[in-house]
Amino acid sequence: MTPPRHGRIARAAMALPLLLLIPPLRHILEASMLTHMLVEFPLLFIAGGLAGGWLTHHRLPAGLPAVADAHGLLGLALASCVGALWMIPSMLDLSLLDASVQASKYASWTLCGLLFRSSWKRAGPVVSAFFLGNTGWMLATAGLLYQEAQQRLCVSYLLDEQLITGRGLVALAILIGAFAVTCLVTPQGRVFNPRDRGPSRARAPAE
Amino acid sequence: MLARGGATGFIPPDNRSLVATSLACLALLVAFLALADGLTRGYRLWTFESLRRDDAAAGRIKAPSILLAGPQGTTPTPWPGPPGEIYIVDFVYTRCPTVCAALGAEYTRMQALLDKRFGAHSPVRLVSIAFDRPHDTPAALAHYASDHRQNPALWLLGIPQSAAAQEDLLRTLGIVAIPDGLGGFTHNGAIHLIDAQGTVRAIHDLDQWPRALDQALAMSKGGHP
Repeated sequence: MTPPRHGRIARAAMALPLLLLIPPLRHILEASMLTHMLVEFPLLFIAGGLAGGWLTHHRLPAGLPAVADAHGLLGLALASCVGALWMIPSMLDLSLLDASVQASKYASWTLCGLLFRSSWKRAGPVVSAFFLGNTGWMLATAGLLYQEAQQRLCVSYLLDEQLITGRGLVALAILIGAFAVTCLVTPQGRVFNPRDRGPSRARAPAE
Repeated sequence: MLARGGATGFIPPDNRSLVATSLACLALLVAFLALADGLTRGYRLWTFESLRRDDAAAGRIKAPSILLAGPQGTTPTPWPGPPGEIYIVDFVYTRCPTVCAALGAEYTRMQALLDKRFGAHSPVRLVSIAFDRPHDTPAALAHYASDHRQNPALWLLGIPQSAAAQEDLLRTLGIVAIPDGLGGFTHNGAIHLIDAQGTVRAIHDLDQWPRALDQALAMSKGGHP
């Protein structure tokens, strides 16, 4: 069972994407490239994950069908695709200049977080480590490219911000890489297993 | 790793599930590659500015006609204009100490070249649009015009008469000006070649003004120099 306090926090976090519909609040996060990529995206993703937990708690569907998500592969692949898509510099600009792209950004990250939750539970240590390693590699590549570029990649941000964001992406990549190693070496083979489920139930696909 | 999974009661998915998952992942990958291909136009264009220039080269950007307030009073943009005319358009703010000042000097040179070749009836004309509304006052624009020896017959200088018109023009052209942290702006207001119908035909970097001028002359009824 989800404790009441946990439930309140989850509900509050789930409202985050709605708060971003208020321009001044959105502007706080999107005024800087660093917070746009390294705060807003993760927050939307986490809000989606918490929404997934809330739906699961109320016995509502909150994940991809188990039959098409063996080992959580489809959900993790979807998360990789969404992450890669929003590393493209033009997508950052378009999300600030085009309302439909902006809506797609909020929807894709939130939905990705929602679906990721159940897929992550289905994934074994090797699949988890592979996904995290791949994500870290992608972030590091993007981060290095952002730092190498001599010109602005986004018309909405300054060159200095691009450099700082590149460093931030590399730092996050290192963190995620370390997490990938943790997945492989911890005694349980996994970390962040859901509290309310035993390992056997957590990893078994729906039969 | 597998032994560890077995120890915790891991039940491997059956073959049907693995096949379905493989097919779903393949479909996702194909969809993602198709989407990325569309967004980057064949994995060529990764930035908003490169997409904008590609749109311009394909004639997909249409500049709205607006009123400009400048040293010579309020006049409409030269587009729509007589067929065969081409306008070399840039975006400036009068306080700009670096790029805009250098570009103003280049505009002075282009104006001299056009004057020498065509006199006051050039098929290629220059347009500078200011965007710093609090500071680009009529007096500031008059000072800028004087500094750069603007000839009104060849070079139109002005600021959009209303903020809404300015927003409409900049948004349509995809021009974004952001504070540079030093009291000025950083913007992608490169040199735009706009034809008599208001269609943006090409966008050049500021330092490529000779190439922009050559292309404008080639596209205009005046022909290539």
